[in-house]
Amino acid sequence: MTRILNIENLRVDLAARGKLVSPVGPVDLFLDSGECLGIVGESGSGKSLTLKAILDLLPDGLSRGTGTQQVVEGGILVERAPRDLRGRKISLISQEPGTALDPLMRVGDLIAEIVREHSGCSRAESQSRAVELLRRVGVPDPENRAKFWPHEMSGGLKQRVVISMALACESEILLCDEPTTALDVTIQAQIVDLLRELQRLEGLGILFVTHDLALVRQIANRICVMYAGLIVESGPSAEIFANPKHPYTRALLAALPDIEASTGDLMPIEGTPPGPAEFPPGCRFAPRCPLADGQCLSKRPMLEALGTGVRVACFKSEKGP
Amino acid sequence: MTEHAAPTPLADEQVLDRRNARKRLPAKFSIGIFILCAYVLLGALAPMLLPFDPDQSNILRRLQSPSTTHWLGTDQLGRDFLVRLVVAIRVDLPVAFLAAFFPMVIGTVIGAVAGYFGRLPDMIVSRAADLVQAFPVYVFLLVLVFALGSGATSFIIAATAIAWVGYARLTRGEVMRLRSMEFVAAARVSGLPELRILATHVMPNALPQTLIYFMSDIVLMVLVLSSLSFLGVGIQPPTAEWGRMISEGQPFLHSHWRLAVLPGLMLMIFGIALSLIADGLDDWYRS
Repeated sequence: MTRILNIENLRVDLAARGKLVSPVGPVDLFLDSGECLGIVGESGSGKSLTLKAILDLLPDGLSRGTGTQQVVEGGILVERAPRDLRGRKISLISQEPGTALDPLMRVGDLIAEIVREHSGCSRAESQSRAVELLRRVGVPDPENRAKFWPHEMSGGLKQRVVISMALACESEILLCDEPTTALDVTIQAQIVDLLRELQRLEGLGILFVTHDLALVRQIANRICVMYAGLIVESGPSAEIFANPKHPYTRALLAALPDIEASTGDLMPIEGTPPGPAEFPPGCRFAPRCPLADGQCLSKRPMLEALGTGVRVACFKSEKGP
Repeated sequence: MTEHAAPTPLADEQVLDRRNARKRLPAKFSIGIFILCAYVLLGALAPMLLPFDPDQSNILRRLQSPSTTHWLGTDQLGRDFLVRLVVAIRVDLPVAFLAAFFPMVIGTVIGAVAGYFGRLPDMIVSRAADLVQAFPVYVFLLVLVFALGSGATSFIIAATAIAWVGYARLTRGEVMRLRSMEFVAAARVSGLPELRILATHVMPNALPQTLIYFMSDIVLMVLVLSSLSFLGVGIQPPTAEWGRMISEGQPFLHSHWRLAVLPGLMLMIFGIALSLIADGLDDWYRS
C-alpha cells in the first residue's frame, strides 16, 4: 500500500460580515492505494464540503481557507493545486446521478468528450473507448446504450455512466459524495459492489462520504467520523465499529438499529448539532456529551493516537466505559 | 488502453431503462409554421404572381372597389391593394426578423458571459441593462430612430441597442441556474476547460428558452416597426408596409374600411402564427 493522497489543514470558510466562520476544519486526511476511506457524520457535519473543498468546487459564498494536498506522482507525493487535480488525479461522483449528466448529450458523447480532452484521440476512437468504459462499469449492451440520452436511463445506470466518466479521466482517486442516496436499496447494493470491484481490480483509492453507517461498514477499510466540521475519531473500520472511543461515535452506533439485538429502544442523541456560527470554543460535542466537564467546555481536544491505529479527539476517551 | 479485468456486468433483467418514443411537437406549432411558410412563400413569389407595380400610382383609378382586375380594389393613390398587402411581407418580415435576430445574438453572448463568470462582468452588464431599461421602450426607440434617420437599417440598429437587454437578462438567469447544476460540476471535475463547458454544456441547455423568446420578440418587432411607420418615422413611403398602410388608410375608415383593416389583419395573423410557434415550442420543451 502506498500513500496516494495526503491532505493537511483543510479548512472551509464562510464569508460572513467581518467574522470568520469555518464550517469545516482544519481537517487532515490521507488515502492509500486500493483503500476506501469512509467519512461519516450527520447532515451539516461538513463531510460533503470537505470532499468538495478538495477539488475547490465549493458552492458560492464558501471558500477554501487553508489546506494543502499532496498526490502521488511517479512514486512520490507532490503538492498540487485543486484545479490541477480535477479530472486528472481525482474525480468526483455526486449524490444525484439524475442531474450529473448533461440532458442534451447522449451518454456516449459525454464520456467521449472527456476521453478526447484527456488523450487527444480522434472522434471515432473516443467513441469506441466510451463504449469500452461503459462495459467496464457493467452496463450491458454498451454499444447500444452509448446512444441513449440520460433521461432514457434509470438512476442506477446513470450512476454507472457517472462512474465511467470518472474512469475516463483515468483518475486514481474517486471522491464519492453519497453516491447511492438517490438510489433504492437493491441498486445501491449494485453500485457499492461495482465500486468495490473497481477498487480491487484497478487499485482505485476511494473517499466515500455517507451518513449511512451500515453502508460504510460494508465498503470502507478505514473510517473518519466527523462532527460539526471536525474529525472526532478515525481508524480501521472494524476497530471503530467494535470498539468506538469517542462519545459521539458511541452514541452514533447506539442510535443504529440492530436486527439481531432485539432489545427494543434506540438511543437517541439529545439536542441538535451546532451550526457553524455557534461552534462552542471547547470540544464541539461537549454540550451534548454525557461525559463532558469543565475542561471539555473550554479546551479543544486534539486527535491523539491510541495505538490500535485509532485516533480520537476526546479528553475522556480512555476513561469511558 | 490496457486490458482491464471487467467487473461483473448487470444481467439484462436488472436493467430498468427504456427508450421512450420521441416527443411530438404539438399541433399548434405545425399550424404556426404552416402560416409562417405561407407568408414567406407569398412574399418570395409575389413579384412573379402579381401583375401590378406596388408603387405605381394612378390617380384615375383611385379607391376602386374589388373587381376581377384588382381583386382587393385600389388604394387612395390607385395602386393595386392586394399587391401592396403581399409585397409588404418583403419589408415587414425580414426587418422584424433582423431586428430580433441581432439583439438575440448580442444579448445572448453578453448574458452568457455575465451569468457564467459573475463578479465584474456581471456587474457591468447588469448596470448597462438597467440603464437601457430605465427609459420607456417606445420613447427610447423613437429618439434613436429619429437621431439615426428613418429607414430599415436605422430601425434595426435602434432595436438592437435596446432589445439585447431582454436576451441578456434571460440568458444570464438561465446560465446562472445551469452553472450550479451537477452536470456542470461534473464537467469541471472531468477537467474540461471553462469556455468549453460554457459552450457545449451550458449554452445548449439555455438556448431553447432564448429561441422561444426570439419567436415572440419577432412579433413584438413587427408591431413596433408598424407603430413607428404609423407614426411616420419607420419605413418611408412609397414602400408598402402594413403600419404605414394602416395610417394611410385611416382617413377612409368609413368609406373604404379595407384599406386600414386588411393590413391590420395581415399583422394579426402573422403575430398569431409566431405566437403559436413559440407556444408550441415551449410546451414541447417543458413536457
